[in-house]
Amino acid sequence: MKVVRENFVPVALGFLNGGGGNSLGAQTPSGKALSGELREALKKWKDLPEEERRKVEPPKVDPPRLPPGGLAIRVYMRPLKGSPGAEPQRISEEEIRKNPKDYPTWVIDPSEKRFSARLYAEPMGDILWLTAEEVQSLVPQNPQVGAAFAVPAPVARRIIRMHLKNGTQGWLGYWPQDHVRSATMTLRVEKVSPVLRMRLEGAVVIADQADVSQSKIGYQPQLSGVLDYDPAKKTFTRFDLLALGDTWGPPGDYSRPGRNPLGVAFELCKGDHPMDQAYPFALYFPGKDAYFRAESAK
Amino acid sequence: MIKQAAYFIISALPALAQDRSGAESFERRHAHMKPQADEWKWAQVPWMSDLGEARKKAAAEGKPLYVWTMAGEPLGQC
Repeated sequence: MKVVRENFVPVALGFLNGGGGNSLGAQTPSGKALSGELREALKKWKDLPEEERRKVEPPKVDPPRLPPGGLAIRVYMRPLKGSPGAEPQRISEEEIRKNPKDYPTWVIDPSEKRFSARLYAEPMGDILWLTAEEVQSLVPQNPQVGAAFAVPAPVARRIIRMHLKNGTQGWLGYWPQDHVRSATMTLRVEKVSPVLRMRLEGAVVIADQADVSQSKIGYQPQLSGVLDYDPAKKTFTRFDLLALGDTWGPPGDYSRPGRNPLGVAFELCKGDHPMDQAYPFALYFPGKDAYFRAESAK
Repeated sequence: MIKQAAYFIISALPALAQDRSGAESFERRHAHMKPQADEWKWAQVPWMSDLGEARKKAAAEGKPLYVWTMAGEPLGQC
């Protein structure tokens, strides 16, 4: 990592901003590959003529941008270990290796280079984007302490369908509308000055069958959260949300067996972490239109 | 009057304690889900995500790019 930090300009690319398959490698500013290990690539770089090293080729990509006036929020999905009556716990690489039958088989497959047990135990990240209009829809006019209101549907639907996902198994996707069996998401005004503080509470049942006990895939979290809105700055200064409950499926070796706790936490992007530059995965799949109009995605 | 005030305070204490306990529980659980100090080692590298800007910076600083590409979005789903 030190070699990269000191000698290269590191750039991370996904489907929508110039990336594609999984790879790591050195390039010139004009996009020419410098093959070989890091030090070999550096030698090739130093051997290039000055003119070649200064030549910049603008890439033909139009990366997704946060809508003007919108809000970017970090999302962390963490697989947890549960036992009856106890607080769900983080899992560790050691725990996975000691109890491999409790985890997807590929996590401990020695040929699996991309997604080791250590990485599986860590949270998976994503980004939630809200438009300026959606941000304003969360701010009540003339707020009164104790007043409560439902989170507006476009925001609630996006959070539930695009972000309350079990991304810990490597692929995010989204929930079909008819899998959302019930959902409540309420904001209650706790104080109005100097910042407007609202507590979020709710519960969601997502399952592929109406009879949840028979469903093969789902998530059933309780929601809690704290949102602070600064009227002087006209922006949210805190957007902490937590979904915590059991998830299960889909059937097959790819998934963790049985029902297990999953935590999904949200917090504001502060611009001090590389992930704050990321875009929501769902902009790629199911796509931008479906993401911003979550009610229209099937 | 004093008795009434005392009664009000005493009767409100359990609810206040519950609120505080609930708030502490939320803070603890929320922090529990986030990456811990020994996790997300990839974030120790100052990754950029705008290829055009990264190429300009590389040329200006006289450095090559180190390009990490991934299906999905690497600065999250990695």
